[in-house]
Amino acid sequence: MNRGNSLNPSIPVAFLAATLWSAGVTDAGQASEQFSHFKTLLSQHCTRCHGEQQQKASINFTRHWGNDALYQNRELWELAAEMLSEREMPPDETSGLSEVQRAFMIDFIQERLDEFDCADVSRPGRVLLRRLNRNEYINTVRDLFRTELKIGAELPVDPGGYGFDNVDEALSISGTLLTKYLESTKRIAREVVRVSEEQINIGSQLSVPTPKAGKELRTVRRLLHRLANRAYRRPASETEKNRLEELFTESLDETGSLENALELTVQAILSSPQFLFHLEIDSAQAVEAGTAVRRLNSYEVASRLSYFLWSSMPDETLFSLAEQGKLTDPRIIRAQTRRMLNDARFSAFVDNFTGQWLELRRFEQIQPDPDLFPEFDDALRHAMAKETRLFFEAIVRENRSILELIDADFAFVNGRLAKHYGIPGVDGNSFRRIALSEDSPLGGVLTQGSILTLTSHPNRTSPVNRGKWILERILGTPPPPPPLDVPELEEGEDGVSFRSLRLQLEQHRSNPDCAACHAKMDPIGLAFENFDAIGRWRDLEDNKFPIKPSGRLPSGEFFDGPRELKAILKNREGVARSLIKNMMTYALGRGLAYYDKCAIDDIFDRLVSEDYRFSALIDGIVSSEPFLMQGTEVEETQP
Amino acid sequence: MRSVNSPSVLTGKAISRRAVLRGVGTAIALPMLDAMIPARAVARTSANSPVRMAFIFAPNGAYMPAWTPENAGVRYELSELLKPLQPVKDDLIVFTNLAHHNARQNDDPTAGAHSRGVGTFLTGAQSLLDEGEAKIRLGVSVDQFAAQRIGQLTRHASMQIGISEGKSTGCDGPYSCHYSNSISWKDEITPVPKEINPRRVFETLFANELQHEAAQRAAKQSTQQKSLLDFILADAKRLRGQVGKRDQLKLDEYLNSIRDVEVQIEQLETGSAEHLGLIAGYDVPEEIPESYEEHLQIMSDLMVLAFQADLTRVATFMFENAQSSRSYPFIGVKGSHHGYSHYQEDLDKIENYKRVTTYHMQQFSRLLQKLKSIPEGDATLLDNCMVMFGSEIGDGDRHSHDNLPILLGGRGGGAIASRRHIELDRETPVCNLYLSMLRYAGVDAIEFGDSTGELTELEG
Repeated sequence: MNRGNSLNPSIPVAFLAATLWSAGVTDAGQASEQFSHFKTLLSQHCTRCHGEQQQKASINFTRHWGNDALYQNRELWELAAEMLSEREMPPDETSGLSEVQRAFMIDFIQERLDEFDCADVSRPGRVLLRRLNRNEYINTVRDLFRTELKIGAELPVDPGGYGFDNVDEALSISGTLLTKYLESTKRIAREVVRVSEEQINIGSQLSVPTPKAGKELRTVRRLLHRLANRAYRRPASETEKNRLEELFTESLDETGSLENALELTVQAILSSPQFLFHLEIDSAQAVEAGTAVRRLNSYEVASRLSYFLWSSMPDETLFSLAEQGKLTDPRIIRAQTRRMLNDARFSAFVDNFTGQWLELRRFEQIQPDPDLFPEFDDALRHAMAKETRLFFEAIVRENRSILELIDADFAFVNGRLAKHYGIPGVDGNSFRRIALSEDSPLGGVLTQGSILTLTSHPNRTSPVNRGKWILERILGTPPPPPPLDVPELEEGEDGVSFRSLRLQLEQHRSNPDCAACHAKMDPIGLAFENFDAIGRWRDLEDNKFPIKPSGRLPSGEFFDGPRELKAILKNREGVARSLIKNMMTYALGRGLAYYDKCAIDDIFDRLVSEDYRFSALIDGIVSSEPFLMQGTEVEETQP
Repeated sequence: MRSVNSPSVLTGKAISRRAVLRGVGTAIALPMLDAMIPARAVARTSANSPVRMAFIFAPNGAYMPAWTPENAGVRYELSELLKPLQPVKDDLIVFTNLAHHNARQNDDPTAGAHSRGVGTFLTGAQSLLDEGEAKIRLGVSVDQFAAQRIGQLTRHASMQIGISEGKSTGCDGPYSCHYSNSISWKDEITPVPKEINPRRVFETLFANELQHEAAQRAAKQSTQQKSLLDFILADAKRLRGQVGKRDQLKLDEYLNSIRDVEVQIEQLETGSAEHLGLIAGYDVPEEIPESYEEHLQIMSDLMVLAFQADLTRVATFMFENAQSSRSYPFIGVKGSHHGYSHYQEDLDKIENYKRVTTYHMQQFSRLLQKLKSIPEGDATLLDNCMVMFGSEIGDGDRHSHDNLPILLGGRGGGAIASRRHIELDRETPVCNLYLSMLRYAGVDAIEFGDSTGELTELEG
């Protein structure tokens, strides 16, 4: 079989089906040709059972296959694409639908479905009630009391979803976890509440003179109210305030200790769902009126901004703007965003977003084989992680093009890292910015030690992992998982090999089960073979095989080495789109759905027209409907 | 008698997590009250010693040709990989042909044999993706099922321990990492996180004793903590009325969690002086040990201690998370365990793969020996235990879910006839084993997971 067929540009290759939104059809002639091809396949393979004669499962495709009807019967066609990609349909193996035809049908449906008119579909989506994750909790406590406390180590990591640990559906809570939170809040309360002869302090900001017996509540009342307002990230209601006062009074009566009563009340604030969850409550009017969508109020916007950019609660500036109801004004939101990017708290974004998007968190846990790579110690690991952080921060703070993430003419190194990369003339522990020459293979995250190590095995490079990582993280086109019970390609982890990795991979690719996807992953990964498993330049593999970093992408482009590959990747729409989608997911704290395409398209257009500057991305997100609006409960009943 | 698991205690009405319980992962128990009569709970145990159950998980399956013993029955020789279990051979059952059908793809046609396998491991249920990778849905696990019924008899309903925290993203297939990191599931949407810090396990187990000197303060504290719980419970209930239906599910999780904590606090109020002797001079490191072996062994010892002091009767222990790529340089295994498990007939990979399994068997053997060294009544602690060992897949190269590498140590209080290699009919559900184990532990269940009946072969 000639695999080259599948590379014919008019017939999309299988893995494009996995992209959420591949590029639309370019010209009308091609479109109608594709449509009739689709119809032919449908009548050959589907309509015998799902057509005029028979309507198995009550499905009759012939009624719904007009180009418009496709979108109007979105659910039906989504199901059809799903059945096709899951190989459930057509049912018997001998149906004769080839892999290429199957992929074409899936793509065709997907593309048509994604061509819907955004004017008709305005859905901001609905973020479900979500718990503060570990990082958000730690940071919020820090900012609430303006005190550095050693907390959080006792809380477990939050397994995420859609690539991020702040996603609504994945943040569960159990008795075990709540116990840990309660222990934590108890410890915090004990640390932040200080009662002396003269003065009561809660954290470093709130204080009142210590009251005489009998006057306790009157004295601390305002203190507690202020704390609750900030802890709940909105003005506490009268009921909430009264209940806190009651709790305080009861505890004081019971224990006779002002300190005890305050600690308990503080603990109650921190343990309550108003604090532990991101609450966005539909107003009663909206629910009653059956409105499916509502604009977030200023307090809610303040929290969305602060948890997006700082992984923490809003500060006084945001609160005071919220109090004045000003955070619905796009100009003010943009100005605040600018301010927040330049605040020290923005480092949380770099940690949490890039930590997960680029998998730097996982890099922290990678341990290359100490026998093979004795030079890989903690100092080198930290230097590598810091390089990527500094680089990302430079893109943000200097408002550079996001495409520089793929390739840039500057880098950050300290003495240790410079030595590792073979860059002369940099000494000492502190990092400095260096300019890279045009022929340097370095520049951009793909050739940074962190990423190259993270995508390697402990004892050798993995072109498959490197290719997969780029497809998944950078281009947003993850290869589908390997078919069931076909083992993943593992390239000789034993460390002893008699053939070069490239040869071994070529052999694997002769297996048609593996070939389709590995044809996409392997060439990309092999381009980086000059970098060893800890990101050092090398000319020979295992000191014996010469390295040939050239290759051809399934799309037909030829490249020789990482520099040329980066130049190709830089021109791919997928780079910007993938970053937008990842950042949207992170900003919203929910998985994206088809209707988010409209917001993503808008942000993409904005990026293109603003030279891909980082500000266009951030502004695009914080001014998007999904970010500023929320589907109400009414929306839940919609498909 | 305290009611542990009735949702009505706090909320006034049962909280229905899902309107429709799917046919997967549901466990049907006899009415709670029956299961909770202590006389029944200890009915099958020897003398007055309670029966404990533990589930040990090690990832990536095994090289099955070197695992399965040649002969079945009482007269069998331990296979190459099982050799380290020689000292406890009398107390051991090796199973062949136990299977987890729901670990297969079935209607969920995505890759992720490890995720599905570990999900099914103790639940017998199919890991579900629903609409996106963030959705998790499984079923109650056998340990939690037991804990929900006999947990009230001990200070801690169950313990969940492990070695690695696990990844938050990027786990096997499109499945949430919840699957890979937890084998205990409280219900179909709530994985129970494990504790990996031995110091914290110790302090949790013996919280009362450790606070002995401050007992009076603690009593006062617990009244305070109860009013705190009442307070946040009321908050959550109030909010519940204001949010949408799907958000209510999240608040229900929170409400249920509060209930769990309340029960825990009540349990804590009863300290024990005899435990003080047990833990006097017990050496637990402040931090997580750097050495894997030391970490593994101290966690094992803590489990033994918890059983010995009857602080809990149910435990799960993950030697590693599913699809682990840990290397074991101290036994010469330098690459990734998962990598070697895809051995593809490569002799060197097979060798490395076998080494890891052998090592885990040594550690499992050590755990059983430790239990055996502790006398209890006329028997040993191991006699009153059921310690199951298993993995998320069978053969590492095939990602198979039939003929899983499963062992059972201990006699379940005398009910189990050990020292055998039991060759079952092909595709015998692992859940049949669980159903029997549940009964020996004093939990009567009609079915569990995809069980088709009890595993009568256990009784010889």
